Amino acid sequence: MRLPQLRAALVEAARRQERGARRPLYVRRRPLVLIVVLVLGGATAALAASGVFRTGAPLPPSSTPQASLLVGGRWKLLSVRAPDPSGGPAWAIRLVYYRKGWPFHQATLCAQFGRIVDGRFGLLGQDGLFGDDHLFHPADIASYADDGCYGGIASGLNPTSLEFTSGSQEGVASGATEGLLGCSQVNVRSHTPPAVEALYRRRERQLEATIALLRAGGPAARALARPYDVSVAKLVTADEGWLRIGQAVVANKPLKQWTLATCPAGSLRTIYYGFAGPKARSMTLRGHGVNETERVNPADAGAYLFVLPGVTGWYGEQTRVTCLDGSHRWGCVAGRQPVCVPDQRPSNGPSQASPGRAALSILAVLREPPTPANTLPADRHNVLPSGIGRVLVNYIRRARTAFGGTYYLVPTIVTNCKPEAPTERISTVELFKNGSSSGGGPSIADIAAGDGIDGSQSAPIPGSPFVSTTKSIVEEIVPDGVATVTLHFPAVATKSPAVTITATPVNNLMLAEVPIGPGSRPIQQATITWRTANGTIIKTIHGTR
Amino acid sequence: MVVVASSWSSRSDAELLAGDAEAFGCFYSRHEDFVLAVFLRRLGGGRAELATDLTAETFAQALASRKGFDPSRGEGRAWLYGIARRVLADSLERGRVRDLARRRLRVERLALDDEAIARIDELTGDAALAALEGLPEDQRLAVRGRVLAESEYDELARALRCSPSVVRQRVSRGLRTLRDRLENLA
Repeated sequence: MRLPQLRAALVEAARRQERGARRPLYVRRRPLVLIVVLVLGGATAALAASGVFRTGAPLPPSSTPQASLLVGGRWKLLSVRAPDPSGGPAWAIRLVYYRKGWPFHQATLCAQFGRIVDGRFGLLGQDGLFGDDHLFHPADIASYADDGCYGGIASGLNPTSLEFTSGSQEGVASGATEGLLGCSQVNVRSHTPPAVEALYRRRERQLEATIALLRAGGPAARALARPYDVSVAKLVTADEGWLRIGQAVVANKPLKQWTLATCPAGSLRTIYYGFAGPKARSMTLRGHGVNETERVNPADAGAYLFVLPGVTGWYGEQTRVTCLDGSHRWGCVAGRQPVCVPDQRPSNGPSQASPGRAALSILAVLREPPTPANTLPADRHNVLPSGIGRVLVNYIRRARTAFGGTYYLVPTIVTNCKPEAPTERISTVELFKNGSSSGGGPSIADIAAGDGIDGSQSAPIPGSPFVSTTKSIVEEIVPDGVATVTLHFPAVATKSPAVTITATPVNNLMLAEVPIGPGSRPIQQATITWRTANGTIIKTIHGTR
Repeated sequence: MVVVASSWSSRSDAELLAGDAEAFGCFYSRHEDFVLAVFLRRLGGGRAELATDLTAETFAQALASRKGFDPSRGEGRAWLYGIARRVLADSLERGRVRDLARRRLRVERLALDDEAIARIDELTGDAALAALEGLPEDQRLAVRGRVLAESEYDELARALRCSPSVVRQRVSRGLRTLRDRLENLA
């Protein structure tokens, strides 16, 4: 027998079962006694609250306490909570101010990430930490690692500009054990490629040797097959299959790109966090199949925290902050973060470049020479789309004035959170008496295909701070040659009859006022027809797109 | 009166599962290798501790539900295999060993020493590899070349600078040595 201890433990458990089965009926009273004990016993409250994790020993003090010094006990457990993908205690952020370096001259603000049980911040005994005891280990403020950030994730935050702080960390163990003793993810490319290759080769040789002995037959082969309860021939087939799979994996995926996790991939987490500012209301994260929005607390500088399963490549995810005034701002996880405060950070910057040939060839308005009349005044550049790319400032053109506003077309090079694949888009900026707005805008290909249409927005009431509740404005950027655009909205139930509107583009921009009516009229359901000046149909774009 | 102890080995799985605690211990002993091997096969070598945790949970679940074992639906091994498969699937899905039954039954998690790990690793085929590596060099090269690389005897003879008949002899001797060593291990 290979595990006699397990056998003994199971037999003992079976004996306990037998004793339980023989227990007399009066023990049914015991749960009542237990309830009283639970109510009275403060120490067990944590068990009730967490559901799974009992509280174990607190995190031990730092091994070199002189290396850091907490500044006046200044720390704060933020109110933001993020669920773990596998359930259990929520994740939280704790900010700690401390000084380090002799003689503690360097003040630092550090973010720590942990799990919350019964209102306490700590770690879980899993993923190899604390001997996988499945207990919750409080991380009291006096017990943290040498640099004060046992998470090791976000040391050195600037307390005066939290709203510009954000980050992500991949490969954090689910018990919040990054930087401690638990399992973690190792990027083989930068750490141990020889070890991984050796690991694979060893497995390969092992399979080869097994196959060889099985093929040789005899008692040895039968002994090898016996534990699996299959014939020798079947085991050979199975092992050959394993070998082929392994070889195919290596052939298709260079070893240098392997990632070796010292714990199961399911135990790893990707943390994304930041501070959207005190004027933020909620934060949205999109990408990798995730579309999550969480409310943020202005008192915590709009701190947000997302905990996602596995190890994702964070390149390309979008973030969006919704501010208290209802406005939205977009950003990228791997780049500029959206915030709800005046953004003094160096922007991506305006670009002096010119649009691409494709844009110039289909949009005559961009080919117009710049004049004071058709360019956006410099003092209004603050309304330009920010955080999404670089505005080609020499090619901003005023397209038209209508419905109480002035509409500009703004060519922009947008990286869409993927700098390696920039696309050129034409945004629109609308200046009204009472404010302004700007949109992301369609790509040049979208414009050419007829998808350069923007969803309707409430029409402003000229001379009034209010917007119309009965009309909306539809915009479409159209290529040269489109003289009229006909929009046909099908009927919406019986309350909102079909509507057909024909509008004339000016400077490649079509604007149409659409009655809102009692039912909604999604622009996606409209059929759009482009015609030339002599009425010839150029293109018909059918809804629903 | 002389009482003759009944032999556990002669009892069926159904009898063992319906029996007392010691009978369940016998059931465990009978199927320990099988369950460990199932997990090792899925997890690959070097995962003895993980396989042990999964095995412990499998038998804990078996213990908890042994009264529901129905011999008309298959042998104990098939029943165990079904439990093991669920335990593995659940654990893979959760990313960690599902061990609710083990903890509920208060079965302590095992801490394996090197000796225990070595005993478990025998099931993975490491022993076969070690035996192969332990052959004299001329036999090892011949066995690897002929059996693993599937080279022709003539080709091997040229590579090893000897006659084809010598290669045949080395392969034959090498395989015989391997069988003997593995049978001794078993």
